[in-house]
This record gives sequence, C-alpha cells and structure tokens, in this order.
Amino acid sequence: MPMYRQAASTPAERELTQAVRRVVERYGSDLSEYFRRVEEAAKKNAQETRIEDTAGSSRDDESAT
Amino acid sequence: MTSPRRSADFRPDPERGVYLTGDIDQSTLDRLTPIVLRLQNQNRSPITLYIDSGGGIVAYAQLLHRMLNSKDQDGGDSCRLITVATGTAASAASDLLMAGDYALAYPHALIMCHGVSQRSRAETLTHEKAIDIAKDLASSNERYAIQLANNCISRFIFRVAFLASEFPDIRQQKQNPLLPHTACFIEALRSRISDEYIKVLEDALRRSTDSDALDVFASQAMAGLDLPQMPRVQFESVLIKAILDYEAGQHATDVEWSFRTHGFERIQDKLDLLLNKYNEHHTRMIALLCNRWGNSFLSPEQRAEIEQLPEDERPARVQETVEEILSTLWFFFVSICRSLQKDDYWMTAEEAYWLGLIDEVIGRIDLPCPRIFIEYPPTENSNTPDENVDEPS
Repeated sequence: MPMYRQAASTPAERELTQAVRRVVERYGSDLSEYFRRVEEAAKKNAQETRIEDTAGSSRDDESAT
Repeated sequence: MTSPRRSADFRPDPERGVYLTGDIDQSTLDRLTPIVLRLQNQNRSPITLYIDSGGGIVAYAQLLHRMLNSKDQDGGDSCRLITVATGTAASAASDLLMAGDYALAYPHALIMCHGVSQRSRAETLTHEKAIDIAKDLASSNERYAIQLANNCISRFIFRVAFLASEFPDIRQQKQNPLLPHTACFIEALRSRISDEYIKVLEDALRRSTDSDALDVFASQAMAGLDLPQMPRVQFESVLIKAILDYEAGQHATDVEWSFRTHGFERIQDKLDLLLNKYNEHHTRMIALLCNRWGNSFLSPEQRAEIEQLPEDERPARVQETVEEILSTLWFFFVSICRSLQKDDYWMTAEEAYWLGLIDEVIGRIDLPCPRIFIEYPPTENSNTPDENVDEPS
C-alpha cells in the first residue's frame, strides 16, 4: 500500500487551484512580477510585525516596573 | 499595510503537532498512535507531523501514514497532513515528509532519498535467491519512484511554472527557439543547485525521452478503443503488445539485443509506468494540474485563441493544448524520481525545493510557495499589482 497524498479534490486543493487560476488570469504566464511584489509585501509585513512586537514588549516592560 | 490572511491549511500548527524523532519502528507507533487518535478525535483540522528522523522500517512508516490519513467512523474526510522537516528527514522519514499534503522544511534541514535496502539474512545465499532479492529490490524501487512522483508532481510543475519566465532568454542564449521546457528547466537550475543534482536531471532527461516516445506509441495503439469498458487483462494485453512492438522497433538494427537477455525487465518497468498513467489517482492528478496550471503553459497566441471560445468550452481546450507539455514533464519527473532511488542522495532544503520534492522552505520568502496564492490573492477590481498583493482576501 503506497503512501499517496490525499486525493486532489480536497477543499484545500480546490481552493489552491482557484487561487492559482486567479493569479494566472491577472498576471499571465509570467508570474515573476507577482512573486516579486509578494516578496516585497511579505518583507514589509515582517518589518511591521517586528515594530509592533517591540512596541508591545516596551509596554510590558513599563507595566512591569 | 494590512497583514495577509494566514491559512491554516498551509501553515504548521504545533498545537496540533505530532513529533516523529529517532528511528521509525514499533515503538514509534506505540508512542505516536495515541497522539494522532486524540488529535483526530478533537476535530478534523490539519495535523502537523514534525520530522527529525534518519528513517527506519518502511512498513511502520506506511502504518503511521495510514493512521494519519484515516477517515472518521462516518467516512468523513481525513485531517489534512502538513509535514515539516525540522532537522533530518532521511529514507522512510523523507517518504513521510513528501507524502504530506503540504510539505515544508527548515532551511538547515537535511533530506535524504534512496532506494530500498534489505538487511542480509543469516542464511546461505544461492544464485537463485540473489536474483530473487535483486528483482524484489528493483521492483520496490520502481514502486517507490512512482509513489514519489505522484506525491510531488504538483510541486514540480509549480517549479517549472515559476521558472518559465526565464525560458525565453534561455532559448535565445541557446539559439534554439524550440528548446523544450524540460531542457530549459535544467538550464534555469544550473545556478541554483549543485552539480550533483544537475547531473541527476540530465540523466533523467535522457531516459525520459524514451518513456515519452513509448507513451506516444502506446496512445496510438489504444486510439479508438473503449478503454473504460475493457476488461483489465485485455487492456494490459494491448499495452504489453505496444511495448513489445516499441522495443522491437527501437532495437531492430541491434544484432546483439534480444528480449530474452535484455528485454523482459524493461517490459515490466514500462508496463508499470504506463499502467500508472491510467490509474485513477494519476488521472485525477493530471486533471488537477491542467485545471490549476494549464493557463500558465499557454502561449499568448493560444491564450488569445482560447479566450474567443464560449466559457464552458475553454477548460477542455486548455487541457487539450497543454496535456502534451504536462505529460512530457510527468515522464521527466518520474525519471528524476527513479534516479533518486538509485543511490543515497543527501540534499539541502533548498535543493529539495528546486527539485519539486517539498512545497516551502520556512523563512525563504524569495522561494515562492503555494501558500502565497491563498494568502496574497489579487483583488477583483484593481489593475495595479502593487495594490493587489497587499489586500487581504
């Protein structure tokens, strides 16, 4: 009995198919521009999360003192 | 900026985690089965299998996978399986990693694929027994290669689709406008993976060309036959005859070649390969790939032509147009998976990613993964990509 992944028709896989199709519809077959912009957005999000975390920990420090 | 949506189907969750460490044996099952059962009983959300294991007994790894994939008493869906390599995922542990519905690895993780081995028994080995063992091992390796290919083909196609924007430049550099996707893919990976794996890809390409030609030959032999209505044995007989004719044609001028000395094992391998192509799992997977990635393999001219068709006719035409490309990529990928069964192949998480064996390297946002399609969808009414990617769904 081989170790096969679940059938391709699971809800998560269907959602992924729709998501890929939407992106391809918008950007065409050259997806590099989409991925470049996602990378930029992800970096910006990570930076903002760090700033929020730092602000949060400063508040924690203040309340502790 | 708004934070993107986080999709539980594509993110590991330690709260619903199972930790596979050390050798895989009976004690692994004794330890993990109660945890899996408890998580499945709580709800049907995804389960994350964290892996740091050098492998072990394949049968126990299969049992664990079956346990993780089991439906509930009412036949409800199994929990989605997310697998994560945290340290080492070698041998049977790498099979488990790649059998995940979504497979990730930390950047420092090491992954190892290899063929099946058999511990020597304390019994006298005769010529006949040695031949039997060799046949068993060869047949197991073939089975695992097909399993690996089925589990990872959607990852591999994603890598090809991602790199496809580089293919026009590669074709220009090589002064060959007809250079196929497979060869372009290898060129695109030259600067991304080690020479060892470039060699694996080049060998695989040489061998897959033969499988691809056989597939075309067998398809011609089956044209006009009512395959769904055909008894299994008759269907196999048509395939075997096609393989025999193909091999005979290939070696027509080679006076040294005969079926008796060279051919029968090749026929068995090729029959397995073709039968797999017609099994239900594979057919569903190829339909999914056409549906998901089909549009990205169309040329601008093909796209424009298909857009002229009524909407309900478009999916069939897309499938018809890209099926050949996907089929060639499938045989190429099977060939890569066969190569990975032949020796011990240790690879970094990034190499496993580029070879299409895992979905995501954690923390490497420069390596696109399926998750981002869900978490960064384009918005309906925006024409500027800058705005699109930042919007939550």
